[in-house]
Amino acid sequence: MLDTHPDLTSDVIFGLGWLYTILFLMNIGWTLRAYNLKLENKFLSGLAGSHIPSASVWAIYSGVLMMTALAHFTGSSSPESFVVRMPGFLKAGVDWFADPVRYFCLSIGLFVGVVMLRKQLVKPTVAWSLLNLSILFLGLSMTDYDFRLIVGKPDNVPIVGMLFILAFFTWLYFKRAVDNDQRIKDGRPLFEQEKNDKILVWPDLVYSELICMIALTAFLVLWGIALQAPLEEAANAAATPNPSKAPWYFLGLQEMLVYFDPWLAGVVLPSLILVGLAVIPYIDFNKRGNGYYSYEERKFAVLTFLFGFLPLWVAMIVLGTFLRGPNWNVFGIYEYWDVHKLEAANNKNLSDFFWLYWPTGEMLGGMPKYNPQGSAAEMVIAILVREWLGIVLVLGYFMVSPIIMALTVFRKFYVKMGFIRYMIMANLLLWMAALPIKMVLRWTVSLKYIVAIPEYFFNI
Amino acid sequence: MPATDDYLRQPQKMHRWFLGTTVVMFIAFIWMTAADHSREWKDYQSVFFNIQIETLEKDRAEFSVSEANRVIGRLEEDLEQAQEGIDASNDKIDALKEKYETAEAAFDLMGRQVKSTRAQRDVARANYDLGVRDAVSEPDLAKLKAIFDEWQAKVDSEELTLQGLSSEVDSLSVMLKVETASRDKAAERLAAVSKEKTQQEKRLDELSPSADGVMGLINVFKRKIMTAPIVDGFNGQLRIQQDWLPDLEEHLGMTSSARFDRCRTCHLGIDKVAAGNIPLYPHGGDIEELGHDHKKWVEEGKFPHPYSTHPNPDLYLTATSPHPTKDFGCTICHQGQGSGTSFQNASHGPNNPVQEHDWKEEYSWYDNHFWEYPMMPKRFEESQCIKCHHNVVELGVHPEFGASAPKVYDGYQLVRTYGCFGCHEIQGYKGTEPIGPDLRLEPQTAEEAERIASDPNQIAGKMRKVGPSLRYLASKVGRGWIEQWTENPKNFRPSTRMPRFFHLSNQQDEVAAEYQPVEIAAITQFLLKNSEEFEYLEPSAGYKPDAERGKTLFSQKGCLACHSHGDFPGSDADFGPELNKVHAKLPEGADGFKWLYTWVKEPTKYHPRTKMPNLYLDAYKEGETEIDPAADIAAYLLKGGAEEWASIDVDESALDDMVELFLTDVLTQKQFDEFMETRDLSLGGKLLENNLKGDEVELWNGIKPEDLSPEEWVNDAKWKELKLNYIGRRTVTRYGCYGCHDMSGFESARPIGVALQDWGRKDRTKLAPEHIEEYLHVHEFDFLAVPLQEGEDVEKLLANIDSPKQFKDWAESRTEDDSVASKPFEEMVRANERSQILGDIVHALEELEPNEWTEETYEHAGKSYLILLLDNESMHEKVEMYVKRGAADSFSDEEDREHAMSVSYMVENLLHHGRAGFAWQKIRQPRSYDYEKVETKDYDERLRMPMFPFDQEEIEAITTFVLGLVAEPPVEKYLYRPDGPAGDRIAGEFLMQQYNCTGCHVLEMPKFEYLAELDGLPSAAPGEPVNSAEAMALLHSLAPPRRVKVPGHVTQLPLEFSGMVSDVIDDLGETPEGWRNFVEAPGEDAEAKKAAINWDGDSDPAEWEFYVTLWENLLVERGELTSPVYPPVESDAEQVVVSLADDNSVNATVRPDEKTGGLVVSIVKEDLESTLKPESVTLTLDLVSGTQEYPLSAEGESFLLKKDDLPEGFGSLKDFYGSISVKFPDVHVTPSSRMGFVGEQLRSAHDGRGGDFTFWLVDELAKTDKRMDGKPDNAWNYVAPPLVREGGKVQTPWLFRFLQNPETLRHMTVLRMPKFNMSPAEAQTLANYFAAVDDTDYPYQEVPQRDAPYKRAMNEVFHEKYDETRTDDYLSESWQMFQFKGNKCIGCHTVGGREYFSSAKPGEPEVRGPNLPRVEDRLQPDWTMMWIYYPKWATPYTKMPVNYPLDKPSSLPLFGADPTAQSRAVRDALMNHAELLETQGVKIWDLPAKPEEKTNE
Repeated sequence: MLDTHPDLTSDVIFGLGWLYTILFLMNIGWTLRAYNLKLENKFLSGLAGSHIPSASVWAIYSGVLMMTALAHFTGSSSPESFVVRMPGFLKAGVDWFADPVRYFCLSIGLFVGVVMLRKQLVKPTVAWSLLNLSILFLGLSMTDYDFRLIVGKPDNVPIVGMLFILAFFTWLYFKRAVDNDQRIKDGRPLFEQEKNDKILVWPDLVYSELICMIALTAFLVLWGIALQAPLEEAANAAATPNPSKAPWYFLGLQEMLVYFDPWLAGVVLPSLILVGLAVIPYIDFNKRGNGYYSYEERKFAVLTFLFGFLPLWVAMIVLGTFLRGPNWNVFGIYEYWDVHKLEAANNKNLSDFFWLYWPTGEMLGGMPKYNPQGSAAEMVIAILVREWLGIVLVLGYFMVSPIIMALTVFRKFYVKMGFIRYMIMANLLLWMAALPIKMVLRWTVSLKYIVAIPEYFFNI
Repeated sequence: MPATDDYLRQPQKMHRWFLGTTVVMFIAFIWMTAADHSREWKDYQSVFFNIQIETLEKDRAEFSVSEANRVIGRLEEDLEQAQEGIDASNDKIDALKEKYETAEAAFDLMGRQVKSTRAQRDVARANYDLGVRDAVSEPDLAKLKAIFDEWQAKVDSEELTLQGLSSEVDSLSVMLKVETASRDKAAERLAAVSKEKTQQEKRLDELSPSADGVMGLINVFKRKIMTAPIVDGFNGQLRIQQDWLPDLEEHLGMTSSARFDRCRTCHLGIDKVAAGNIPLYPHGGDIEELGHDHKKWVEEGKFPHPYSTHPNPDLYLTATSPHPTKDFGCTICHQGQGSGTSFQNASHGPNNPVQEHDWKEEYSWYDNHFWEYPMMPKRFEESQCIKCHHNVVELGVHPEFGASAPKVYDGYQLVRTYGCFGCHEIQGYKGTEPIGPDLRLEPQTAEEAERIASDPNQIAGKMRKVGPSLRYLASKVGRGWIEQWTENPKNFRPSTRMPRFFHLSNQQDEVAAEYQPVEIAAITQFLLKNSEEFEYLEPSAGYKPDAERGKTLFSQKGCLACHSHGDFPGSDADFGPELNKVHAKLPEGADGFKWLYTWVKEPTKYHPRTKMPNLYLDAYKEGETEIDPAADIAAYLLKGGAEEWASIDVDESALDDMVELFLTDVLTQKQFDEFMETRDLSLGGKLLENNLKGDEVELWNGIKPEDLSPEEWVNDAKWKELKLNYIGRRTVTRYGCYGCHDMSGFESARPIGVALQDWGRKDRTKLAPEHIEEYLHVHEFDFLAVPLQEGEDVEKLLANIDSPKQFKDWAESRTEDDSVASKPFEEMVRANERSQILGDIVHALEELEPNEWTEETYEHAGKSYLILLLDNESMHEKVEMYVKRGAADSFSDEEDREHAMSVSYMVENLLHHGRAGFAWQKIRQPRSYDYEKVETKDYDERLRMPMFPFDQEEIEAITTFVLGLVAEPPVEKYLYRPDGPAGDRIAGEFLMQQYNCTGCHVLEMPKFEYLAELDGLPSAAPGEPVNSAEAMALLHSLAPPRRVKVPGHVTQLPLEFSGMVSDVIDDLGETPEGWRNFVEAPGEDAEAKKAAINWDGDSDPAEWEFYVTLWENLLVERGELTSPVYPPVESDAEQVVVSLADDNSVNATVRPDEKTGGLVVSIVKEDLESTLKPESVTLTLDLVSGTQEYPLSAEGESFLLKKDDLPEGFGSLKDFYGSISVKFPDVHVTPSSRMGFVGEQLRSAHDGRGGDFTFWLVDELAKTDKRMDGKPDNAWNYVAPPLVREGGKVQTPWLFRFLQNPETLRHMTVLRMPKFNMSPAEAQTLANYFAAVDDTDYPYQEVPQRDAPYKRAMNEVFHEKYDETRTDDYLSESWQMFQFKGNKCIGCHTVGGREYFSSAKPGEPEVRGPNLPRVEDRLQPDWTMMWIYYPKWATPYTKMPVNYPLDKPSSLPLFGADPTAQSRAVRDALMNHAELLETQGVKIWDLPAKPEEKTNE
């Protein structure tokens, strides 16, 4: 009774029993599908040298799930000795990713992987297996106190749901796109042309919408009964919660605050995101891929959007929700949120590097100083001298690199788009790239600001 | 549109989907409504309504067997008969009625007529007035006047008619009433008897409507509807009960809002009480114990939460209590979320982990840390009292409510006595606004005191430092002693309050081993160096102190009121230190003697703020021998001789390390090295003294290097001293020694600890639990270590020991043996912290299993020990075991359980980072938060809080107090800061404790309760003026009686009173040994009593006779018994039996008297053995014509109402309606009566308050002093007087002067009132305190006897009554009372200008009373009067006789030999003593040989 952080309790085990039961029923359905379609498990057939139906494999798997569910229902009386739980080495392995660098690399890796392996991923069996794996992962993770605490918070539950929905729609997009790409390659009509699904507004559209509306309302009401609103303590400016988190949909923005000055992360970047989304139709010159799914025909658009959305937005929300703990430190999903955990954050500005650390520092003999009581002009000049390198780099980044890009990788784009459209697109692209660039610089050389003018609250 | 194949989805299918979703939606809606409707509180309310219904049903059942119910049938019959009678004369009545109605109609009509005529008249008058205003012509005005007159005449005549009509209506109404009188009376009687029944039915119908009739059905239906979901929101029966408390704001983050307490929504019965604040639904246990059947609860009168009533309705919730619900609500005291209406949302707080577990199971309870004010668990509930009760004192001592919050009061007292505030300031004011209890040190210098006094925004602290002054330390003790004391104070004195700073858990490593001796030696060096020159006092030259006499003086002069000493085992005062070994610490020879002599004689010389008073131990002469008590006492205390105390040899390299550690904080390493090299802190002028004025000042040596050669510069000895001084000062600063001790140079130093005034609200995330959770897993040793004498044979010792219990018993018996030092043993019994484990013993313990002992001995500090390991579990394991045992309910006794639950709660709380658990561990093992932290900390960053010797209960009390320090005072009107008497009582109580007044003086006599036979109570003693109405009135006004109200027929009752045991006699007629224990441990069962005193004697304590002298006025008021009387139900019954008492034990039988025809009443008591005879009996008859009282005359054993006295119309018992009242005589017992009873009757005994030393000294004197004749009652005349009713006795201004400068008052006492070190304001407060306690007017009392009007009035009476020629006025005659030859007053007192002269016969003890000239300023006139009437009423033990017994004529011829007049004359002469001495002078006057009767002349 003294254990304040019990990994397993009777209630948890019992609840997981239901989860495994549902998973078992889902797989029974899948087994029937495999049986009806008379699918064959090629891999095992190859090994055994004889015909092994896929259904039998799924049936065995379902059986295991059923046994697991039964074990949960019957074994909940002594939680301390219950064996089905997330193994320690797996926890350690997952927690190893609780580091911004590794986490970011993982998200980029996943992103690249999804794009590369899209043809395999869209196969039903693969998708189904991944769904199974993710649910198993969730179920096993639930046997950890700290994981349960974060994921089980009533306001975090929708985010878990969002991840599944997001995965489904991304999968749906790739499934359709891969299909259409294959059709185009084979010279067959597009899926959208073949399965022309023009329908009547009444009753097909409006009636369906009405039914969805009712179903969704009922769902929300039931959710409201089951998960009560998470009321916390009375607001107090003198004692703010630690960590203080933005609403989940802003956690990506809050993550940017780690790398950028508030005026950039809080004002400029959000505005640019909105403006950027609004101008997409005007800078998109690619006439193909209109009205149907395709990847091959709109590679640039798809990749740019997905990169901005998945690793730079959704992954940041996940990072902010599940991994950022007290003092905005990063914690593994199985790690205890200890307020005493510390991280050294000794970051340096570019001017510090130039004037103090690099060989130039030795040569120039320290940071240029100015008399704080002196005239404004003196000060501005001193600041410009101090920050010259950063200013040059930033200006170069936004002014020179579009030209270089126009001459190299975006040559065709420039030609098609014309100067203004091209410059807008290039700048938007550069702004988007600024985030990962700044992140990498922070992680690699502990760079704080490229241009640091705290005197005028202007830092980049 | 018809369905076609063109549709994407088949309409049929779509309809099915639509149906499906709507069904789901419908279910969701129903579910939502149901979830919203189903609330815990509704279930509680339903059950509570059922409880109420059951209770009413029970009452109804009781009523149905009652006399009244039986009578109802009869009364209905009566009513019917009366109605029949009326029906018979129906015609007459109808005619009357018709007349009446006609008359009434005429009257009504006429009334209307008059009204309109009056209006016309008023118009006429107004017109006339307007005419006057407009100055109309004379004739016009006359016309107007005529119109008015006309109308007025009309009004007059109509009014006359109206009056006639009115009287006609009245008379007709009376006539009608007479006709129906018998029926109306019958109806009235019926209504009166069935009133209770009707009310019960009405209440019952409100709670659950019965389905009788159409209306009933409608009501039932309405009730059903009103409980339906949604509808119930419109004033349904079940509803939220809310207390709105706009003034008791709740602090929510950045804002405050009015408090809403909805606790009564579930706790519906919480404030339901019957008259006299008796709980209607008394709490009787948990629901597990009582079961779920509410019928059973009602039957047994025991209710579980949440239905039960508050356990203390006298103090809380009820309208007559100081905390009514409507003003206080619940959460201001209990905390919790008042607006929550479920068990969880209310934030209930479990009292221990077992309860927490149960709650989790039952209510799905969890610790909601988002609510910042969770309900205080029961163990800390008192903590919230100090939000408003900043003085705290009234929570422990209160005239009406006693100790209402003893735990928080204990905590406060511990904080006060142990001086926690020396380091942890507890600021009670924000500016001048009070925010909580104020415990701050007083200003340490006169300048500071003045500065604060002149600042209107500051209030000075008032606490003195709790430790002795160290300002002149060098004169008192030597280096070695200071070192060993500092290292471990308990080493020298196990009972000391000084905490321990060294060898604690964060000082077990090598660094500490190296540094600690340096710190100790350095503190000592610094203290000695810092000590100032002390001026000694000395006895007169050549005086030889007598230690033997010193011992007697020590025991008698009052030292033992505060100190204890092994030579006097019966006294155990702990206000000051125990003095057994004081000789061992003082310097050898004359120095030690001189110091002690000075200290004993004039304590303020050594310490100006000491609490030790000046005992007036001045030298005096007894015959030819000079006696200097201070010298004798000093000689006695020093008898054992001084001891050698080895001093620490400081390791210089460790010293240098420490200097480096501290000095490199302010110097760079380079500078430091240079300093060590040159030994010059200025580094040759590179550093300025100004920049290094912290503790480094000790390192400046004040000489310039250039003045001296390098060899002379700082020699090695001086260098070491400098370094030690530096480390010493640094250590004193670090450990904050000056928080408790007065030290030179630290007057303005700030307390070093965390301020505690708002610690009860400390942000929990700001507590640093560090590795405490891991620490709790560390095994702790609990062991006994028995010190061995040199050369003892261990095998022999252990030969008879087979079990741990035997070992324990043996170990305990060893400590009583003087030859074995008990000090280390005691210390080690306490040692349950790893840190305290000493040296080799640690290793010994690690070898042992629990409950195993060693046969090898282990050495520590030069002594050998045998060890028994009791326990080596970790706290965590222990608590897990406690919790398991708690859940299984397997504790054998309640005390063990409470201890285990207390510990478990604290550990559990600590694991959840709670404040209580944190504080508990901090006090228990202050350095444990450094567990595995010292490895990464610098030595000077380690925790510094010392370890105090508190046990679990004390820690919990302190924690309770600290949790209440929230600095969130409610608005002014809620703060309990009374002025006037209540305020003075509180301020006085505070000082009583500060100066230990109760050490000597009894404030309240011990209280006893025994089962008394009312007939056996003592009556007046010879000479007691109980027949004098004047004397008795005076007694009642000065000593208001303890009134005991009992039902009249009770002859035996538990009687409580305060007094003093004067005699205990066993069946052999001797005073038995151990009787005190028996008195202190009473129980109803004689066997239990024997067990309580470990009885092994022959005589049975249950049969002992106890005699207690009553110290108060007792009045047993036996109330009147009244009961209604009804005629017998059977018409032929010969008598009526009335049950008078509730228990049916007393009956009155009424029957017609055959002889006289009247009524005879006899009172019969079932178990009547003795003389219970009513004082009077009254019959009240309720007749048709009205009620009438008839006092009955006694006629032998019965009471009679004669036939002639019987009212007209009373024919027989059939008409017998009314009531009968019986009054029994009161019993009055006056102070000083001897209450005798046997042991078996004794119910309880309480210690009273104060005077422990005096009780001890009385016994001691009775035993040792021949003058006492072996009687404690005599000895009371020789000790400090009890201060019972002191305020009504003395004049407050005199008391104020006396407290500041006590004069010799009582010449017989063996000790004197000492002069306390108190300020005039404090003396004033104390003087007021006594007056306030006794409800006397103060600060100035009148003495009318000195005023002219009184004298004039007395003169008039005097001349009228005794027209004597030889005197001219009343006072000069009064003066004669002292002036005649052979006056006995001067045998005891100095009075009337004549010196006391001993009247004692040779060999008899002298009896000398106070000098009476003082009386006029000292005593209050009324009290003096009572004293003269009967001195024992004031002080039962006094030697003062009754000089003028009021029950017989005086032998003295003055004032017509009227003793009352003489007594008054004596008082008046005393009150005018100075004036009379001046005007009359001493004139000795011969008493006439035989007084002559003046009245015959």
